[in-house]
Amino acid sequence: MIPHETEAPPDEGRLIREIRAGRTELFEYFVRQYQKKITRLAYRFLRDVGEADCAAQESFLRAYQSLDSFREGSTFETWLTRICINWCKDRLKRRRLVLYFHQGPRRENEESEEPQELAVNPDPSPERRAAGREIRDRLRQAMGALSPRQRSIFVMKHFEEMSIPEIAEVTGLDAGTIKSHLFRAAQKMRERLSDFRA
Amino acid sequence: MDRTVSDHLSDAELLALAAPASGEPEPLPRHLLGCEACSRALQEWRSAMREVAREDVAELENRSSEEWRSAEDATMAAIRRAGPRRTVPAFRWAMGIAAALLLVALAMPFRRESRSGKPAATESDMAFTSAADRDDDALLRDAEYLAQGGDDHADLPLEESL
Repeated sequence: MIPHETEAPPDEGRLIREIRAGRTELFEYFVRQYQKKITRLAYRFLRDVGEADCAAQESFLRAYQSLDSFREGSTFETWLTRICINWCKDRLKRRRLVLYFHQGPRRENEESEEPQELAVNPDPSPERRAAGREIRDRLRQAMGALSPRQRSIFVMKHFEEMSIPEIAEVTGLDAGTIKSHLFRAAQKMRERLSDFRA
Repeated sequence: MDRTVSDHLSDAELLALAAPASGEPEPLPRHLLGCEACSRALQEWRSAMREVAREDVAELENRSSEEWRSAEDATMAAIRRAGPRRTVPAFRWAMGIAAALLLVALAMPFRRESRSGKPAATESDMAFTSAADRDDDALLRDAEYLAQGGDDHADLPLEESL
């Protein structure tokens, strides 16, 4: 029986043991729980909805088929995330990397779309909205200076709000290397912003 | 010393506060205590970070719950089509472990003879690493070089110099 959302979180370790014993239907819990997050993460890398869906499905399939290799000291979510990132990395290597720097889908008329959360002022003036758009543009352009690896780590840290240990576990890099990438990403973005001023 | 009007925080400084390089929140400059313009600017940079993060995946964020449910159903259908999981018999696991131990034992004399004094990549190491892992290692070395202030564009593969 699949645990209902309002019930206490199930013991994922127990679920995995039962799936290994042959109860395939219990894997549905993990799909319902994590597919949205995994798809969103894949989309940040692949920049295409169809490919992100494919990445998510393939990641779950790989996780299901290699469940014997899952170490119970880790969390299923982190392990699945690592599978997804590796799949995305392989996919990107087979594509031209210029697609990785794609700015993302731009809405045709950005002025007509209000941000859902207005941290500064719930009813900003046109000048404040224009200032906000300008800052977002500068931020995107600064991110354009990053290498694929730097961008991916920057996105995981500041957009997906993953901790450094989590990023280290899903990428297979050590925490010191993660911090080096973040530091170097920050340097490059500052240099790009300074170039705009100049 | 207090900043003057001309010493307002730059975009680079505001970004550093909104997205700290260390990954941890940094102490706010004293200047922000007395400068409403810079405080507001920092709020706007933080808001911009949230907005860009959301816009980055806007196409997915606009999906309905029914569409998500459908995607999840498709995943489960794929898993059911895959059939029973392949389980590796215990005997095969034991053979794999024995083979690995044998390789390590054979590689031991080569590791002692390493000339550089640093752990050398031995044939046994190469046997355990895939081509993808070796690519990652090369990328990590480049990252280390960059983190130490190396030239951004020299000696990097094409994709890193884009």
